[in-house]
Amino acid sequence: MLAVLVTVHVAFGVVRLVSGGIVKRVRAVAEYEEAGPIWHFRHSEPDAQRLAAWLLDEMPRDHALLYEGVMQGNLQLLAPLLFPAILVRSSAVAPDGTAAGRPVFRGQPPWLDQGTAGIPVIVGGISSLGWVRR
Amino acid sequence: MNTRALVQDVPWSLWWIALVAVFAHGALLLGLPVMPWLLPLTGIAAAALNRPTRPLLGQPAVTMLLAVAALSIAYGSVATPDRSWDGLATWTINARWLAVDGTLDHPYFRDPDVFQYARGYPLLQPILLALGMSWLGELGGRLLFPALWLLLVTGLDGPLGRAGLGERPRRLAVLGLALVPLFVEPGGGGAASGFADLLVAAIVLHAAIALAEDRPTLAAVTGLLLPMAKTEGLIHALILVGLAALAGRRRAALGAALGACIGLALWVPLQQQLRTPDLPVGWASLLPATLPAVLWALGSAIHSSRTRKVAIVVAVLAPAGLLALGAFDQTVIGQTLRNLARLELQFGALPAILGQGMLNLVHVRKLGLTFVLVIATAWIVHRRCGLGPLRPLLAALLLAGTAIVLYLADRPPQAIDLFLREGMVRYTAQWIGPAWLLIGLGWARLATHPSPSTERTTAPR
Repeated sequence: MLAVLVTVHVAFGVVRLVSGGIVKRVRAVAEYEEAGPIWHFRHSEPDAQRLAAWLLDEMPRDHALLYEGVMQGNLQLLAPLLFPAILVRSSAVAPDGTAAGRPVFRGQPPWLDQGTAGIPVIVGGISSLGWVRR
Repeated sequence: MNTRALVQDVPWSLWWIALVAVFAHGALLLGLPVMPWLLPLTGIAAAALNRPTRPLLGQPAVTMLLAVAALSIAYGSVATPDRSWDGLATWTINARWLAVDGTLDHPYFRDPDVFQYARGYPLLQPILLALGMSWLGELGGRLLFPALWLLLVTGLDGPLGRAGLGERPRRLAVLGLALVPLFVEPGGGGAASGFADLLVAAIVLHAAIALAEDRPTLAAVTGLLLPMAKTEGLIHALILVGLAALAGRRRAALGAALGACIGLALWVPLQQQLRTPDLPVGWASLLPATLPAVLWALGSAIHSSRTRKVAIVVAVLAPAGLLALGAFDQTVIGQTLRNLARLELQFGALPAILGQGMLNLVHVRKLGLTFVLVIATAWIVHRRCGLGPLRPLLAALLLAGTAIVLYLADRPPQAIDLFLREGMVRYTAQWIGPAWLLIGLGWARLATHPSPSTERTTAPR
């Protein structure tokens, strides 16, 4: 009985090695290479994808981006992808306008008509990203 | 055992990881940088401690399959940066910050207002990854992952050979472990995913070998590494210490307790610095580091018939006393123990957790038939000749399963679904090495206790 079980296990493992370990992996790598890091947001809302893509392109990496909202979700993806830029809690802006010793990112996505008053803050959600100015 | 034998008790690769772990954690505690030179220097020191040997993989078909799997994992690791959530968001980002200058002196680590989802997560894997990155680049450093997979897979052959298992079933067991789909395939928890479950699995297998063969230095090294590898590693280390002591594996128990105490003494103060940067680290933060020693003393006392009754009373009262004092309130384990003691668990979720736990045993797509084989092997060995020396390993698997259930029952209600869906099978996979060790040692036991009526139909020959 044990011989049968281990044979089935190994045979199944070989099948999964080929179908998952090789074929599925090659496909996943190809998809990632085609999309770039924004691939991580493929299950996020379209607005969040657009905002994340804009930030990945536009944000200087020596700046800090202010954030609010839930930590779990899209901010978990955005923060490491913006490395070495950092996300800093919106309440932690220093009197001189810096955050954690860095200049705060003040850009504005061109498709959002919010003016340029205040400081932009990204608002994290499970599968969403919002953009407000405080 | 003489000094030479004690040193050679641990494979070269594990010595290497342990030396990096000790020196890097020591440096970070002292506020010194972890320099890239630490990697080659500790590698040379490890080779001096125990000469590297080429794993004997046997039949060409086995070697070829292992090579294909290793190459597939290597390709998945280095083709792109992280493609899996926790690898990206939790483990590799810590490594990238560490790789900047080898220190924790960045707002990312030190400023609680800076976004860091993995605040206070163990640093062993990020340290190894950062050192690899400093020599081989961002992607090249990820060769760590196929190396860890090989450490897991090639670790099984030795103990099965020493148990007298024939070459063919031995290779079959190695292949069985190597082809567990969860680690070979892409996706969360896979070897190339950047999650730390593979590192834990590799260490846990060697811890189980130390337990099975009563090996002191191997137990010490694995006991040292487990708390530094992942939060639940402390639980794994305590299981190792407790079972070794209860089973009378005195050398392994003492080694594991010593190693885990040292590992915790190096990691817990550092973890407290990272989790609560505003609070000073006091001597009280070292209190959890005594837990393995206390457990060793209690387990050894319970093992001895002279002190058993008193030890059992102390074992029941001591945790209650410590909890009443709030001694461990600042630690993850302290909080879990406190919730356990107060029965503040999600009891309503227990049926779902237990159900998912049972399903995981037959989660063929992720774990193959591993746990079906564990149950079948244990049952046949029990019927034919008694479990004998396999008991501690089986107890370790049962305790690990219980710990996983309790851990999930301690999660916030809104997080339990996610843990059931995605986390539980990874926690189970951390014990895949001991499972295959038990299977192989069970076959070896069956081979030395043949039954006339069943010898042709049970263990693979």
